[in-house]
Amino acid sequence: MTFWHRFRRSRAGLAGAALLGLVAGGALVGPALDAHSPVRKNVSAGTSPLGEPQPPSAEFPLGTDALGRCVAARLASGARRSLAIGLGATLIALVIGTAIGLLAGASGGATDGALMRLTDLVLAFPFLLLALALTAALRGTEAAAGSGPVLFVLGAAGWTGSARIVRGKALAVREREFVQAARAAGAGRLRLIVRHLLPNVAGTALVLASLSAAGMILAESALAYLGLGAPPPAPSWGRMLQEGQPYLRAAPWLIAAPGLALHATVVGFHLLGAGLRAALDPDETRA
Amino acid sequence: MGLLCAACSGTPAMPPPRLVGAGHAAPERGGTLTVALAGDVRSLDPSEVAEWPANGVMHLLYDTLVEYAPATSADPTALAPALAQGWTVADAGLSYRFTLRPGLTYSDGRPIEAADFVRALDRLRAPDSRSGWAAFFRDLAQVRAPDPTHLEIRLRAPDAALLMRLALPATAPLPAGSPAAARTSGPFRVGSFKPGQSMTLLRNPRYRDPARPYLDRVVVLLAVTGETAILQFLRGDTDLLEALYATDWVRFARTPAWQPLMVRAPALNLYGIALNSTRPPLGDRRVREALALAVRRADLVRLSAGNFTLAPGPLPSLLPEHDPALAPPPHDPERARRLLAEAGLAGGLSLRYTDLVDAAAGRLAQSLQDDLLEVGVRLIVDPVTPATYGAVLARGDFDLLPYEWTGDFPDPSNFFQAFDSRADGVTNPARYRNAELDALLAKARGEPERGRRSALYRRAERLVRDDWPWIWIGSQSSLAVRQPYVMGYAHHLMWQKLDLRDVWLDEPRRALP
Repeated sequence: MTFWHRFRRSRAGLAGAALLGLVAGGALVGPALDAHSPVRKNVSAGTSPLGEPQPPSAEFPLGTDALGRCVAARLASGARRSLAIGLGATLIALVIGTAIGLLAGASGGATDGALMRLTDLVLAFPFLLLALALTAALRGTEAAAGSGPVLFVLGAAGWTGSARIVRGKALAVREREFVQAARAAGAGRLRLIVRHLLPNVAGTALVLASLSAAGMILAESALAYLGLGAPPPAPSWGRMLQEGQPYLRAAPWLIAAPGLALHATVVGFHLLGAGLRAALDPDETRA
Repeated sequence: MGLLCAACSGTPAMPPPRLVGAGHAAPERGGTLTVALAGDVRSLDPSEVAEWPANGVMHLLYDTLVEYAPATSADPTALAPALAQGWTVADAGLSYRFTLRPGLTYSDGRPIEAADFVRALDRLRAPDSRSGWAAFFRDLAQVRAPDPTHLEIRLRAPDAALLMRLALPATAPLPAGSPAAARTSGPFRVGSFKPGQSMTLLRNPRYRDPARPYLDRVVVLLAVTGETAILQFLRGDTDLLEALYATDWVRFARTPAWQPLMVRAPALNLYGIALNSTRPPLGDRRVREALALAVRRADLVRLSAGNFTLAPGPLPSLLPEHDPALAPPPHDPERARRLLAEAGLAGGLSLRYTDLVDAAAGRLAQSLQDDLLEVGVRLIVDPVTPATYGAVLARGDFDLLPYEWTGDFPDPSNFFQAFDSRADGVTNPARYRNAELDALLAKARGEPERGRRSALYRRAERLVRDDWPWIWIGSQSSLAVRQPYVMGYAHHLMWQKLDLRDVWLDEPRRALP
């Protein structure tokens, strides 16, 4: 059976893909459909004379926030940011993690020991705390205004899980006959890794990537909620939640919109991960 | 469901009060009042407490030589005798002699003597004093008690604001040989105290006014914020609501039954954005003026639901010395751009704004950020925790920084401290230095005649304003809501929302549906 065949049979995978399609669609076309700026304030037209956020209306489909900005526009713009950072940071973490895991798994011995102790060292720090510390070190600079630092921070703090899993998988694959045969035929370490180990751990890595993307998006929101994401006024779901908190009862749409979007994206990535696992790792799914 | 309701009717109104009063006209004695405070009380020693709301609790416990008139009086900044029944000033304002009321006692019945004031003031003015109030008492040359009912204070230089400082709870009589909280002189005494949780205050039966307070007990819940405080109040678990956002204020106003119970009063504070004059290009007066002219102040007033009273300069409009002829700067982006071009910054610039992680502060920051962008100034807003904010403030590691000065006493000298050349960066966040102002302030401090002093302070007000060391925004009103059966409650200039001396409970009962 092909990959698509198996993936299509996973209901979870399809639901995840649909959810993520929805979010990605909103991120892609949303800003084009909404004429309102996601960052410029609009106090006179977007708030009541007493400075209250406005409830959903024809002009503002998801209402306005405390500065009169369109929540829908901010949500769509925040979706771009969340997806870009979630996927970007996952890619960074995955490249680092896979490289270290493969190298450790393929080499064994002292190299393996050293690399895994390094992984333990990073793993010993709580992920979010490490991300907070790294962000704090980069903050307040002109460079911190972009999404670069958050990408770097999440990538640099989040590679340990994939390194561990990829190493385990590589260790198992290393002892298989075809790898032994390749080695006997005189293949070097690099060739072994690239031609034989990598293709065999790629599926696992992809499943991991989907799950890790959900974690990265949550972490980005957590950093923004704590005031450590990209600085204001950049719309980020985490900051939207933080800004909406005092309006929990007065203007619940301020919390509901980013909260539900975040929920849908995280669930979407988890379901997609389940689907990928069913498609790429049929052995383990059966077991 | 809540989302749907909100969608059809704007932000929802608060449900009406659950309890009402019995309708008595004259004050009733007795009862327990419960209030939740947004902040914590870390100590019961008035010399160690300097911030609201702990400060308000200190007023309830410790009485002082003099006291301000009630907020409802014509001049709430006027002083009246309290523990002192009178005083005389001699030596061209250098020497004060107070006579204590006869028969004063602490809550445990021990007499209050003049030596107890000497103990309290000596503790504050000692060179190694760690009290936050120490700086206010360094100019006391000598404090002595010739006999148990007389207190003499000698100053190094005349100071018209001395009496105001003697209304600070930190100057309350300190009994010998026991912590301050063991014997109190104010309307209440300490029943129990659990920092971070709650405290109970009991009526002090030996308070100097035998008729007051009316309440037997005050239960103070500590560190209760936001939504929790409001839900407790709406359930009827608390009798006063002191911690509320502007948005919630608007929601109370939507319910007719709450309207007469809402207490909004001008408060003695000044909020603004300090511009760090030691960081180029903010050393250039034209750049500072340009920033001030770029701000849409009307937006800020609206974002606070009308709870900002704009201030044109360093003095809040509540002070009688403030010059009413001064107006806040207009929103003039044209002129702002011109000034920036004159300063050689036509190409725009980037400035760092250190903000507190707080929803209200964040709204203000983003509104400013948007205004400044219009004149080509990019603000990099950096939200930090209160601890980091304090460190950044002390180091001076910022370009712009929001700063609130809460008045310690209603005298211009207190507000001008933020522009005093000798003050450290925590007190003078803009690192503003102006020898002409320093000389003017020294002259005003020693001027005994009120009219002449006022004129000097008005000159100082203009001098500082025209130098634009801050983007002044204004004073934030004090907001509180009481339950229908809480009577005699009013805002006090210094006791703020916790003046419970005249408060009585009108037999709370369930409201009929």
